[in-house]
Amino acid sequence: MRPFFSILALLAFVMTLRPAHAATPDEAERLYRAYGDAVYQVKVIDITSEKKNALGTGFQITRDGLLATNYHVVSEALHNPSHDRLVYVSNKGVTGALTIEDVDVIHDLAIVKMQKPGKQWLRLGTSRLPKGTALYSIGNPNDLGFTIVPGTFNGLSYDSFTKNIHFSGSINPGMSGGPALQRNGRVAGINVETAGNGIGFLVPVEHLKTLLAHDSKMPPDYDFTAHADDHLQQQLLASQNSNIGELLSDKHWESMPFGPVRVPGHINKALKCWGDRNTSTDRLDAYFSICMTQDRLFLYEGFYTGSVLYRYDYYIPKKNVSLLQFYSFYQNQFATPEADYQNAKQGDVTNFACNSSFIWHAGFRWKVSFCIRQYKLYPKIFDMHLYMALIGAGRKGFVVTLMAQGVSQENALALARRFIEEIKPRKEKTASLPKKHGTGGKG
Amino acid sequence: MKLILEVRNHEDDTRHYSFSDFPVRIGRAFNNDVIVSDPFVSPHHLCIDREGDAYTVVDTGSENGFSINGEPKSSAKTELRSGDKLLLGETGIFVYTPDHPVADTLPLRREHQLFGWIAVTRNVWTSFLVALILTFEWAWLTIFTPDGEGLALTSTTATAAGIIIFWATVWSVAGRLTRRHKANFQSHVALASLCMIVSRVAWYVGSYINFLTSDNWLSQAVTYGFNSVLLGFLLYGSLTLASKMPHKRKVAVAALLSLGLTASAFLFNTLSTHKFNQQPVYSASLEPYLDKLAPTQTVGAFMKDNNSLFAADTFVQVAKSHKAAQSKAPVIPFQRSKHK
Repeated sequence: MRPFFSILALLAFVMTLRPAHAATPDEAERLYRAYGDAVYQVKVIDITSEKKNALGTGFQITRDGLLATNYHVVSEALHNPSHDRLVYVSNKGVTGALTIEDVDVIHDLAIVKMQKPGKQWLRLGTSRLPKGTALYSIGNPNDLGFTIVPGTFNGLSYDSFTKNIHFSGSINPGMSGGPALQRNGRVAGINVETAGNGIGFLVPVEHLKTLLAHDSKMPPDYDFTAHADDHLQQQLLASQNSNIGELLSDKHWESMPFGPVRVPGHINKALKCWGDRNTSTDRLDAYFSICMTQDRLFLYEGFYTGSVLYRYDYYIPKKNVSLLQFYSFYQNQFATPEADYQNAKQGDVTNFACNSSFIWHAGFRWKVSFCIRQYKLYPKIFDMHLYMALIGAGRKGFVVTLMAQGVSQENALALARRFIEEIKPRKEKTASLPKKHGTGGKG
Repeated sequence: MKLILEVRNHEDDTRHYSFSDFPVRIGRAFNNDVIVSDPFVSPHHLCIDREGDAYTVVDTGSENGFSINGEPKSSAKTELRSGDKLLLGETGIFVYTPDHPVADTLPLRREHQLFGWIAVTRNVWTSFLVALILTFEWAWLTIFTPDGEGLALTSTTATAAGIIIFWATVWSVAGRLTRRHKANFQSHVALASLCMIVSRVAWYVGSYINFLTSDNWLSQAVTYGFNSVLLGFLLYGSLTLASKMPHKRKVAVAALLSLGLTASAFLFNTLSTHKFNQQPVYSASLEPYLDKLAPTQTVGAFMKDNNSLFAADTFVQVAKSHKAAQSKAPVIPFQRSKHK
């Protein structure tokens, strides 16, 4: 159902909570007693059946009853207000309706307003903390009741475009949107995601401060839900501008030899790269190298965006395979590229539109196809795919795949162009760039 | 003067009788002058007589009566004119005088000499063998499977042989039914084999056209056009072998059928591109030879073409449905036009 709920629904029962080294049980008890009243359970209620269909946590951040929670907790109610509504439940069982005030889809945050403000609210602190600082995450895992989980702050994750706090503590389904407190009771982050085995992620509280400031600029009676598509589109545009912009502004992409050419290697820390030999058949040698971002931006149910992926496949047939046989295999590989298009469903995006051609580049002829599809609710946003197949090189096949989800027209074109231009003849010496380790260039 | 009776049974088998002695008795009994083997005809059904220069017909107590030119007649005597059609039971009898005019002679149409060629047994099995060899050669050259192609080669060749034999069988059965004992099985085999040979060769040409033109409208048109013509030719040939249709009707039937099938294939393909597809559909054909004929662009020109992909009307065809279409909610709350 919700991304992080379902993934770990099972894990929640398997995992036991282990207090982190720095924390003492007394500390958690004191914090919960002092601040627990500001934390609420957020329920998504199906209007037709009046049954809850998702759960999360939220916490009051202002005197007038604004709650902070995760975007993915409220997304269904935001996109389908006639189908789902939101309510809060306090730890004493007081309930009331919630209205959506503002969301930050990029950092998975939402601000909702309580029907009747509670008496207690939490102060927002900072995420600029020394490594090892004790943090206490509060939430309602699996509807079991409110829980406080001790853990430690372990800095910001660096291997993705969205930098979240790496929290060593058990965040479980249902705790999404809950606060992670410092000893002084100030919020350092918001529970958002778990990687299992006591590895959790928190949204740095600074993003919540930004969102709160943005919300305060809006007119008091502004109907956010009615204009959500515009806001989301703007946020997506800004986010891809910063992410793709970060890639493009780097004038020196790592270049690595692969197959008959030099290709972009590990060009940014937000990407992870690996490569291997494909052993599905012994009739030809197949090598691949792939780099992709770890970001997977949740828009609404079944619709994700934000991935950047590039991949090279290098094929050399064995002697007992004829050239025509090899090309029928090669054509088949080119027709079914190894990239994920499952990020969107019918209704979310249009079909791909493609432009195919031949280019002469890096000393070879290539058959190239550039494909885009438009997001129906956010018409300035596209998924872009670029495919290149080397031709005329005899018993050698080389396919380049580049995929960028959720990008603007300008960035789609600029990234594709830069990428093609970074494919260079193998002889050209790029001695100024030392090869970084772990990029897996073979061939 | 003589009177000629043309008797047609329900299967349109025709027999001619010529009489100068009257009366002429017609019925199922064997003592009639014209014996009609039709269960709906009475033993003594009609009698035709001459009165001066005129001929008359009278019912001689039949069970089912009769009609003249579709008009039912009672037992009263009726005068006959040359060309009248009597219908008794399921048997028709045309009455003619010897000077009755006949239709103009039709020119005898000779079939193309190809039909003579494919009637020769040696040619039949040679073309069949060539078709199978070409199929095998195509499969041997191009099919690639991860663990060797032995099975694929056999099954592809066997399928080709099966298609030819099936086509010939269907048409020779049809021919046997319509032309009576003229099955022409061998000629059908030869015809189908020739078409398969042509289509194999055309396949190579077509895949290079696809490759070099990146599946543009021209290669689509060539593919559809060629297949339509080949199918039309095959249908015309099969109709010639299996029926006695006049030339114009054969052309019309073959053209209509092949154009109809091509149009429905085109329609089906067009409609399927309007359905939602998560996968991009692009020109993926790659060929190992003739790549130097490919018209290459500069990267800049390619990117300029890509830019025009973003034009507003590119996505119109599939952009209609909204996310509300797949949610249960009846109301769509999004009004984005009013505010910015």
